[in-house]
Amino acid sequence: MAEPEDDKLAERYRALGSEQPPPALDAKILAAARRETHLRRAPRRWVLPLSLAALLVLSVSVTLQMQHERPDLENETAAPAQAGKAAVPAAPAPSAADRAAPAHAAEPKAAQRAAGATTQQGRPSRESGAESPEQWLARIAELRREGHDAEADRRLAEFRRRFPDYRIPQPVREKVERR
Amino acid sequence: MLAYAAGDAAAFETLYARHRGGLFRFVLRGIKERGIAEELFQEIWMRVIEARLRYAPQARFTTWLYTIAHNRMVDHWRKRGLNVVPLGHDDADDPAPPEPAAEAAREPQRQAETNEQLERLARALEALPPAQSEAFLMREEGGLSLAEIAAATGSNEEAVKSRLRYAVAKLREALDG
Repeated sequence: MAEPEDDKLAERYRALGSEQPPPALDAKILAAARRETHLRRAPRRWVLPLSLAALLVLSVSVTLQMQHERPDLENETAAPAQAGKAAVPAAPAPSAADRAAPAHAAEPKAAQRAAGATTQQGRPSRESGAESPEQWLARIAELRREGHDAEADRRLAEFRRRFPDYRIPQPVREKVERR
Repeated sequence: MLAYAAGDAAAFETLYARHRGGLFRFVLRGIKERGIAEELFQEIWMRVIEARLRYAPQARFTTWLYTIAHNRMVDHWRKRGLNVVPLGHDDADDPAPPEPAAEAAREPQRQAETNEQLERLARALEALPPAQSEAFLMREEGGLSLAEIAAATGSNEEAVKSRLRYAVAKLREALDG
C-alpha cells in the first residue's frame, strides 16, 4: 500500500480540501467535555471527607462502647477464674431479653449481677481493695514463719472458706500449713 | 484518554485538537451532507465523553474513536435504509478533453486540469460503496492500519485489504481520467 501511486493518490486526496468543523460545534463539544469532568469531580470532593468523618465517628463509638462494657466483662470473666464453678449460677449469661434491651437498661443489670456475685460468694472484689489468693497465702506464710501459728491457722481456714476451689501448690502448702 | 477519564479536561482538548479535522472529514465524506455530518460528528464526540470511564487502552485511542464513528454511521445508514449500496461511476459526467492551448495559456490550463482531476477524484470517492470509502477514509484521515480498520469496522484484515484495493483502483482510475 506504500506504492508511489498510493502516495500520489494520497496527495491528490489531501488536495480535495481540508474541511474543519465549525467553531461553534467545537465550542459545544469542548463545553460538554468540561461539564462532564466537573459533574464527575463534584461528588469526589465530598465523598472522601465524608468517608473520613464516618470512620472517625465509628471509631469513637466503638471505643466508647468498649470502655463502657469493660468493667462488666471483667466482673463476668474474673469471677469464674477466682471462684470457679460456684460463681457460674450467680452470674448467668444474659437472657435474650437482656441482649435485646437497650444499652442503658442493660448496664444496671450487669452492675447488679456483678454485685450479686460478690455478695453471694462472700469473696472480696477488686473494687473493695481485697487481696488475691496469692496475697492471702503470702500473708499466712509470713505469719507461719514469724511463729504466729494461731493467727496463721485462722487465716488459712478463712482462706479455704473464701476460695474453696483454689488448689494450693505443694511448695506453698508447706509454707502455710502447720508442721 | 485515561487522563481525561480521570478528570483532566485539558487532556480532552488535546485529543480533540488532534482528531477533529480528520474525523470531521471522515464523517463528511462518508455521509456527504454537511448538516447531518455535523450532527453525527457531535454525537460521536458525545459518545466518547460518555464512554470515557469504560475506555480500556487495549487499542489506540484512534481505533476506538473510529469504531464509535463507524457504529454511529452504520446506525445512520440503517435509519435511512441505506445499507451498503455499491454505486457505479458515470463516466458520461467527465468533461471533454481540453482543446490544445497556446503557450501563454499553459499555466491556467494546468490549473484547470488539476481542478478537473480533483473533481473526478471527489466524484469517484463519493461513488464508492460505503464499506470501500470507509476503509479508504479511515486510512487517509485516521491513519489506521489494515488491522485497525478491521477492528474498527468489525471485519477481518483480508476483507479490508480487498475493499481498499478496489477503492484505490477506482480512485486511481478517476485520477488518470
